Amino acid sequence: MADPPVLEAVDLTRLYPDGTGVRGVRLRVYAGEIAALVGPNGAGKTTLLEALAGRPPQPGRVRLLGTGHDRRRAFLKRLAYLPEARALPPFLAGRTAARLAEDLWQQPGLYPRFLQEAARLGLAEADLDRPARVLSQGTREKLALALVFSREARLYLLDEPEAHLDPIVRNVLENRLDELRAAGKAVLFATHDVYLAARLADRILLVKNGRVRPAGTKDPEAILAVLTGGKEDERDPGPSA
Amino acid sequence: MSGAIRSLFLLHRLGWRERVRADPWRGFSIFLVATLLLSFQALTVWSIARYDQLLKAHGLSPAAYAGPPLGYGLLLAFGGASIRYTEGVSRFWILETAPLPRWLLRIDQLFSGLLATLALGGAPVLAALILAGDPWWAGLPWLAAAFLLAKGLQPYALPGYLIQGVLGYLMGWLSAFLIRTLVTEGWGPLLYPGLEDADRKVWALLAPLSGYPLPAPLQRALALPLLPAVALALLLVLAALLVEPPESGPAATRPALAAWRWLARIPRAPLAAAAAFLIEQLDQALARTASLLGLVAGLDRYLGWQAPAHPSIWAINAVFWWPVLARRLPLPEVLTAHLDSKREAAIRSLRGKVEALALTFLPLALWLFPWKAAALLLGWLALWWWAAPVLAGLPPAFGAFVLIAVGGALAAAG
Repeated sequence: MADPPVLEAVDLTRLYPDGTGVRGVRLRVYAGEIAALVGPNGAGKTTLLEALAGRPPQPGRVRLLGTGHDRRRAFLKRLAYLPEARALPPFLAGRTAARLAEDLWQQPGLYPRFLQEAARLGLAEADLDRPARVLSQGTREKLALALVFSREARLYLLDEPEAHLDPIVRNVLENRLDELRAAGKAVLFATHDVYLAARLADRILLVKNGRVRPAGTKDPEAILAVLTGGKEDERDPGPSA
Repeated sequence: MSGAIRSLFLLHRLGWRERVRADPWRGFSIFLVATLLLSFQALTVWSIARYDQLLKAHGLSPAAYAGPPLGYGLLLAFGGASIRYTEGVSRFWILETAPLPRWLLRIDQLFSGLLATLALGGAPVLAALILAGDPWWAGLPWLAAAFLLAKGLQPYALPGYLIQGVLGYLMGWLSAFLIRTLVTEGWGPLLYPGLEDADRKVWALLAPLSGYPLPAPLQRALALPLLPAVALALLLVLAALLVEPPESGPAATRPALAAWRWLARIPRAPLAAAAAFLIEQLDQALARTASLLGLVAGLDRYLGWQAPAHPSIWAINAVFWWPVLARRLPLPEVLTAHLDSKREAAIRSLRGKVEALALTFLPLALWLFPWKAAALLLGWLALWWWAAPVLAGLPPAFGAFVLIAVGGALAAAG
């Protein structure tokens, strides 16, 4: 019997007042797997990740190791989420943010893990002490990644984790995601970068006009052709394999 | 005065801005803010008229002594013109996010500045001149000068704090004058016995600003830990201007960067976050502290007795933290996204703020306060910290007001 999925979404819908958003999403992500959401701007990738993370909660639609949004504390305890809006406030230093995270998330040992993750991502000690206001965009991104990777979780939802990272740090990121996969974690990340998705993900899910379906291929050129194609795909997507 | 300026902007926001139109309290809020603003202007004009009456009653020419009320009005005008505007944000157009051309935004900001100048300083300046026998349009060049001077000085922050202190002093004097006149119908210092010289009589209305000895406890409050804390904070602000790594920056930056390192390595994260937030709001903190210090000094000078020292010291220390106490500590979404409710974050934030306030107050309590007052105040802070799970649900500004007001009462009782 196949292992149950770590994350399962059934008929997940989140629509904005103007009718945009995602509708009828069905997907599964398994332990030891990296899945990638690929789609153009405005396709609904961020909306989908927010909905999966329970923002707002959608009882009965999403389960993380059998726990739904109705048991919010237990759900969030197993989740590590890198949101789209992840910048630290201008006055906050990364080190203080990590200590706050250790306190708020009630995860003892998070701060030393944060220091290790920060070192791996190439953050200097001085970068951890200075307020976010004086840091470059790339450094701020690395701080957010270090915070999320230092969190112990079973599922990692990452919204464009490669954004604003230089090629060296991107390589570190890819290695880190590989390690999460090897450790049996489930990873679902959203990206514009089809080539990154092809290189890293076990499965690619296409997001277009609020609908999600399996790409059925890891060939970047084929995926780009589908995404840039003009014909609307009206098929109701079945659960991801 | 800063409250009056903020009232002016709140009134505008309530009246014009699209996003607050749906607020059910909008009408009441507009009424409240307009009343506050108009009352402040009316009281100011009345005070100037009363000042003129007193001068005439003693055979002095209002025209010759128009300086003090005119100066006060110009300082208010200067304050209104000094308001900083967020780059690219319209003050008057209805749609906040409408993409407006830059030239239109500049006109908008100019208009806002002129309106604030007139709203705050127009009435007292014109009143001072009219009562002195000058035509009303004689005030226009004065107002224009105040406006241009404010715009010219705007890049340089330090004069603003001094101006705030002076304004606070004048406010304190004016408030004491009103209280004394309204309650006792006394004539003020003009009738202090023994003063024969008319010039001395009038200039006694405004004590010389330089060389005025502050009451001793206030002097000590300035010299001791608050000043080093402010100096540290200024260093951190300087460090905020740096983007170069320490090894390539000038030598003068190293103390500032060391200060940042010290702040970030405070083990109590909520306290460190509150202190860092204060640095971010330091201009407001210093401006409010300077205003309050001036207010206390002005009250003290007019009324001829010492302002209550211990409540004053408590209030000055607490007002320094007001920009932090009165706002929710902004936490990053990458932290709060993993919380099932924001309550825990709010509790820790409030505790961090109280710890920060206690830290700067503790040396003052040990040095300057009688043991009873110190114990009462520190006990009050401890109670606030302990009750944070309940108090974190209060609107922050309301909670801060209660914290400071009750603390002041305890300081007086001690």
